[in-house]
Parts: sequence; structure tokens; C-alpha cells
Amino acid sequence: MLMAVIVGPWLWQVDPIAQNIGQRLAPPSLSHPFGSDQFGRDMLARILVGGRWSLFGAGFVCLGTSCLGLVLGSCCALGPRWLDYLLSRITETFQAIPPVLLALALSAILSRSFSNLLLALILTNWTWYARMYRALILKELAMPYIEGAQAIGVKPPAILLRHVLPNLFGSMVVIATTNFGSVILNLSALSFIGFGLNPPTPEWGNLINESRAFFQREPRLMIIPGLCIATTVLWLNLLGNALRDHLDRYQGVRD
Amino acid sequence: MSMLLQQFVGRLFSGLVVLWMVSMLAFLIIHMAPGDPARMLLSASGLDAPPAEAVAEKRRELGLDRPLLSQYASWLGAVVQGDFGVSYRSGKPVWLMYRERLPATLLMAGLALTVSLSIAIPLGLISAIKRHSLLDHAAQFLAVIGAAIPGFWIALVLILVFAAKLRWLPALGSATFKGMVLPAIVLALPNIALTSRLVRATTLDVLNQQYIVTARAKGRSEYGLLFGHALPNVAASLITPISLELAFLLTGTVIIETVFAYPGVGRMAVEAALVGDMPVLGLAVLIAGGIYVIANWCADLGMAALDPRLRQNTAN
Repeated sequence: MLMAVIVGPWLWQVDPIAQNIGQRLAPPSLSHPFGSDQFGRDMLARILVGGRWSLFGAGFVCLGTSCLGLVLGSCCALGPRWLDYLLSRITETFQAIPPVLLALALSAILSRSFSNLLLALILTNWTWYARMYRALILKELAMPYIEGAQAIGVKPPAILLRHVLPNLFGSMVVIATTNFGSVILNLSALSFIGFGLNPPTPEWGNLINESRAFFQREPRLMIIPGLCIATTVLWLNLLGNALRDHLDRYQGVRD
Repeated sequence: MSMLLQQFVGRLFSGLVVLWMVSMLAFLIIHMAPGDPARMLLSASGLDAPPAEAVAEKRRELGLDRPLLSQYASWLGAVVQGDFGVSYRSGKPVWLMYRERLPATLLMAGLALTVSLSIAIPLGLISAIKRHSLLDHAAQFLAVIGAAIPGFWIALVLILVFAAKLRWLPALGSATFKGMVLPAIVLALPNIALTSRLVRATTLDVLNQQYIVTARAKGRSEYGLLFGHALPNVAASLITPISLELAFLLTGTVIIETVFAYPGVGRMAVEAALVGDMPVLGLAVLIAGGIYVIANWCADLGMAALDPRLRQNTAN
């Protein structure tokens, strides 16, 4: 799926926003394998380009939240107790509000754009990472080799960077992969209710939204993007599970 | 006992800190929005192009010329007394607007939770007892698939099948039983997937414990084991996830209510976000935070009630 989205737009060189009124809602054919939409735009090209927005957007959110979660998680684990308490309560505050509601509020404050949608998703998604990293780092710090490093006088930042982080790398990959799928779901859901890319740029969520007006006549326009989201998330979740079996040294560390 | 009490007071305090932070967040959300509240409120009361003096007057009246901290203090004071401000759009108190929409969301949350628990718990138990049976594998498969499908999409597919093609149920949600069935099913599906797996895992965990072996050795029947010995422990570990699930449902499920045009509080939040009606969003955030904190407290109390180990003196 990832390959299709990366390579696809080069192989399938059809303009995803070129309108062709004569081809409105055309059924699937050789020149348009997925048919065309209400403006005669080629559906396959729209799916492929739309997938880029969905996947790269979600990837960016995962990267951003990983960094934010790592920094805050290490502050919690290494900092003084009051800082841990304060940051933990802030984390809980953001957890208390459903992500979609918070993203709605943020999108009402910021102007409506894709980058602000990504920002909103990062701001609502980091809590889970921060808690995981806090738990992981605390667990790692309790290891005997850390005590050894402390005994020979290695400073805390060096312990974190040189000793703890390399050991956490596997878990970090697992955490990000497991979360990737749910970020795609949230991203497409928000984009579906109209808080994302503006038309005519395609994205899987807003493709489904656009198809709503026609979905009794042409359910295909709604079903295909949904299947794309579902298969991508399914593969990511399975990949996450497989990676966990191979990489995660602490199976079952949950906050 | 003192240890538990101490722990509980600590949790109570943490909850209050979280509530206070939620209130700051809600205030910031209301305050940072673009647009002039004074102008919007005047337009809501019927003036199309309010004169500059009137706007300045209103700004003074609302205290918008005062420093941020003193604005927060007076806002918080009003909130504590139950005054959550008025909508920029309709000029009505937002609390009244919220209360009008709340019953619809409550009904649907109740129905969704009933559906999900009445399917998930038996399914999880059977999967645990008949491990690696066909049903267990089917449930596992469905749980994996269920976690990957977007809820709003499955909602559209269900509308297509049951409303457009079969014409059994209405496509638009309403606070009647027929109008609630589809949204409630869509809301219940991911919870069924999650909860049934959780029930399965905890049941397996409990059934492997020593005291079950002892009870079995004493000749207790398998059903007696399951319902008399295992189930209470399974129930205790389900309290927290279920109360959080209920909290999530009660805050109004924004996306699904939008798909079905269901007249609940989630849809109200979307409408407010689209037109920049910030007091409504602020109230939604406050209430979500409140429900979350209260649900956590209830879960703690419920755990203590169900698990005698937590009530005993654990000072060791």
C-alpha cells in the first residue's frame, strides 16, 4: 500500500484534479480503472495522490509526537518529583478531553488548513507517547547497568543519550508503528467532517466526504477510499504486532 | 485502611488539579479564538453592523480590556456558579443549549454501552474457555479487522445497506429507538472488539491462578469455578476500561453524530467549531474534562468495592 502510494502517482500519470464533464460518474473502465467522480476526475489518480496526503500526514504526526513524547517522558523520568507531578497532570488534562473535540477546538482557533490539522493531531496525540516513554525510561533506569554507569560517574544526560535511548529504539519503533494506524483513522475522520485539506486536493477522508452526495447512485466512490484506509491500518497494526514480537524487550509495559 | 485513604485523597487531589488545568485550557480556547466576542455578541442580539461605540461599550462590559489573569478569575468565578457564558451565535446561555442536546447523547451512549457489553462479555468469556476454538479465532479475526476500519466509513456503509437499500431504518439519526440503532451499533463495534479481547485475556489470566487450581482440586464444577471464583476478579479489572469507555461515550461522539446528523452534544460541538462559536466549545471541553475526572474517581471507588485486597491494610 505504501509502495503504491509512493510510486503510484508516477506510474499512473493522470491529473487527479483535471475535470472532464463528459465522464461524470463514469463506471470503471480500462482508461479509468476505478471509474470517475462527480466532476469526471479519475478516481485511481485521486486515490493514489490522496493516499500520499493521508500517509505522509500521519507519518509526520507520528514523528512529531514521538519527539514530543520522548522529551516530556524523559523530563518526567529524570527530572525532580514536582516536575514529574506537574507534567503527569498536564498529560492527564490532555487525556481527559477526547482528541477529536480538542482538535475541533484548535481548528476553530487556528485557520483551517492541513498543517494546522497536523498540529492539532500532534497536540492531542502526544499524551500516550509521553506516558509510554516515562514508563519505559523509568524501567530502563532501574537496570543494573545504569547503576554501574552512575557508579563510575557518567552524568545523567549522557546516561540518557548513550545508554537508555539506544536500548529503547526498538520499543520506539513499535510504539510509533502501533500508533500510526490510529493516527490515520483520526486524520481521515477529521478530514471527513471538513477540517482538513480544501477541495479539490484529494485525501482519503475527504474523498469519502465528497462521495456522500452520490453514494446511493455510486457507492464505489465511498467504498474504495474506505477500503484503502482499512487495509492500510490493518497492515500497519499487523506490522506493529510483528515488530513487537521481534523488537520489544518489555512485552506488556503499559502505562 | 489509612494507606488506602491516603492514596484515595491523593487521587482526589490529582483529579482536582486536572480539573483546574482543564478549566485553564477551556478559557484559553475561548480567549484565543479569532474574532471579537463583543462584536459577535452584538450581532447575535440583532444588530447587523454594530456602531464602534457600542462595540467598545460591550468590550468594557465583558471585561475584555482587563488583563488576562483577572479575566480568567472572573470567568472561573462565573463557571463555578454555573454561568458558562452565552453563545456568540444565538445569544442563548450555552448551558441551556447543552442541556437541550444532552438527553439524545445520553440515550445513545446508554444503548451503545448496553449493546457492546452484552456482546463483548459473553464473547470474551467463551473465547477464553474454548481457547483456540473456531469461535475464538473468528472473534480474534474480527477484533483485528474492527480496529482497522474507520467508524465513519462503516456508518456510511450501514446507511447504504439498511437505510438506502433495505429501507429498514432511517438514514438520519434521531432520539427515537429506530433513529438510534445504527449510530449505537457503529459506536459499539470498536468497543466490542476491544472489550471482548480484554475479557478473554483477563479471564485466561485469572483461570491460571493458584486459587482456581485449589478450588478445582476441591471438586468445584467448571461453571462454579467460572462464575463463583473467576468472574468477580475479571469484573474488577474491567471497571476502569468500562468507566473510561462510558466517559468517552458521554462526551458526545463527534464524528458519528455528524455522520448521522444526530442531534446530540457532539454534533453541537462540530457546528460550533465551524462557525467559531467558542463558548459552546469551551463548555464541551469543560464537561469532557469533568466527566473524565469523575469517571476515574468512580473507577477507583468501584475497584475498592470489588477488590477486598485494596480495602485491607496494605502497609507493607
